[in-house]
Amino acid sequence: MGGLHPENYFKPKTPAEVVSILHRYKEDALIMGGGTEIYELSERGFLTSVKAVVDLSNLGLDKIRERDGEVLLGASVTLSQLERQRELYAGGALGCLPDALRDLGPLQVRNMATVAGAVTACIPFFDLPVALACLNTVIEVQGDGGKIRRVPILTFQRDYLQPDLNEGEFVAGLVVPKQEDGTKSAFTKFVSNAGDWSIVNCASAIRVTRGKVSSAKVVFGAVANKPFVAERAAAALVGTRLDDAALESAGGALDEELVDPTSDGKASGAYRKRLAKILLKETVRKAASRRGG
Amino acid sequence: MGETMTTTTMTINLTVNGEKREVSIEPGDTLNFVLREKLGLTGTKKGCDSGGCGACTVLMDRKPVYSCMLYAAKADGSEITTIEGLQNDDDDDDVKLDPVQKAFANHYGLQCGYCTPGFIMLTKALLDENPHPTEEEVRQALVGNLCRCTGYTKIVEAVMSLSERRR
Ligand SMILES: Cc1cc2nc3c(=O)[nH]c(=O)nc-3n(C[C@H](O)[C@H](O)[C@H](O)COP(=O)(O)OP(=O)(O)OC[C@H]3O[C@@H](n4cnc5c(N)ncnc54)[C@H](O)[C@@H]3O)c2cc1C
Ligand code: FES
Ligand code: FES
Repeated sequence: MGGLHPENYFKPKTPAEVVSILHRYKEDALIMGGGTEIYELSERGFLTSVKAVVDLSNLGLDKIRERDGEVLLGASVTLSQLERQRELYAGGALGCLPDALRDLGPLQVRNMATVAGAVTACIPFFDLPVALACLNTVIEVQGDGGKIRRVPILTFQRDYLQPDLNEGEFVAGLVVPKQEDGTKSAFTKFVSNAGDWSIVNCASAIRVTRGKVSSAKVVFGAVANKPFVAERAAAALVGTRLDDAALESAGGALDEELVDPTSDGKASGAYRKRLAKILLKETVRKAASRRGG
Repeated sequence: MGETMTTTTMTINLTVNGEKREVSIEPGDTLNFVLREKLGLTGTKKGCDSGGCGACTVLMDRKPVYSCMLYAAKADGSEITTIEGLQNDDDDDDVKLDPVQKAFANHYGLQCGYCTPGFIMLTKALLDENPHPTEEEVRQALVGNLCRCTGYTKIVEAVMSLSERRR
């Protein structure tokens, strides 16, 4: 039988208490964000051995702050809370975030799901991690004695279902660094219906200086066990005016570097590769044509 | 459940439809289970039990959530509104329906009615935040709720009637 049947449900008020409970229960402890992914996992019978739930919602980590252009997201910030921060997106640099959040599941889920949960789940077809990776987001991992480790999201997401967390550690927040002036970003995804997971998703951040691309980043989700950074495709865009020829050659570069995309019951690797090339063009154009700044 | 399991109980405090309730739960219980089985509030439905249909939608601190996948322990200390909280029974046994309920009835926004409490709670929250949604906004807001009977047209008409009337 599945479900979640812990002996204890803790809502600690301090990080020190969190750490001590995590040490006490070791692998039998489960950190609870919004619980939306946990529920799905528990119903599939993956969490039957959990003895203690550690719910982080009383730590006061539900704040969004801006500091010198950096955006600091507390672990418990919900997806709908982040979606509402219109003023953060006015410049266009962080445009990939509202793009990803708008169609990220139903509102009832976004009202509960947290940013830390979305990232720590390490599920390769999730949308938000791809957008956050495109913005070079850093994960703040807190542990013994209140020490904080700062880990880039692509290192933090080690593999499928495998975050870089040691015993006694939890995610305290996310830092979205200041983007270079003039950067615009966007996110797109391809789904088979409104309730479906991304078959492929893509985020891109583009900076155009005097009509030419001066820097570019492109990240894909659902093509590998963690977000895939298309370095060659991005490099092929730099110095161009994003005309058809430039996008075509970026597509060619992507073909070479995206060697073996995920193949599963939903879509073959070859299909995902074709989709990725289409989303590449769409996302880059969407980013570059974004207003603001 | 494994044989060695020693599940304990805990107490949570909820304000349900304006009334303070103290409930003894197991730490893994969902809010849907607590509302229906412990508090007898069966107006909130359970359909898919996995975040796919919206029949279980209730408001937690005025925000719509899926009660089927919300751990009741998480809801401790919060205000929950269910469909039972919308109508007011007055002294002469006349049930006064909420304007959203009336709109669904007047526009035939239901057939079997199983999805209706969820749609109505979501509509309450939508109009609370955005009193004059456009049809596109309404359709976008309702994506998390399924109806197998109406084909949605009448539901959208019901919600739009409220949007227009308030304009
Ligand atoms: C109906 C439905 C539709 C969805 N549609 C989409 C979609 O279209 N696109 C998409 O990208 N996603 C979608 N999702 C998935 C959704 O993004 C995740 O369920 C959600 O982001 C998880 O966040 P949470 O806070 O609920 O995590 P939880 O379920 O609480 O936790 C997830 C994992 O992270 C761990 N964890 C949580 N917080 C911390 C922390 N602070 N420190 C350490 N570990 C932590 C937990 O232990 C657990 O392993 C959907 C989900 C549902 C239910
Ligand atoms: S029963 Fe909760 S979404 Fe279907
Ligand atoms: S009225 Fe029957 S499911 Fe909606």
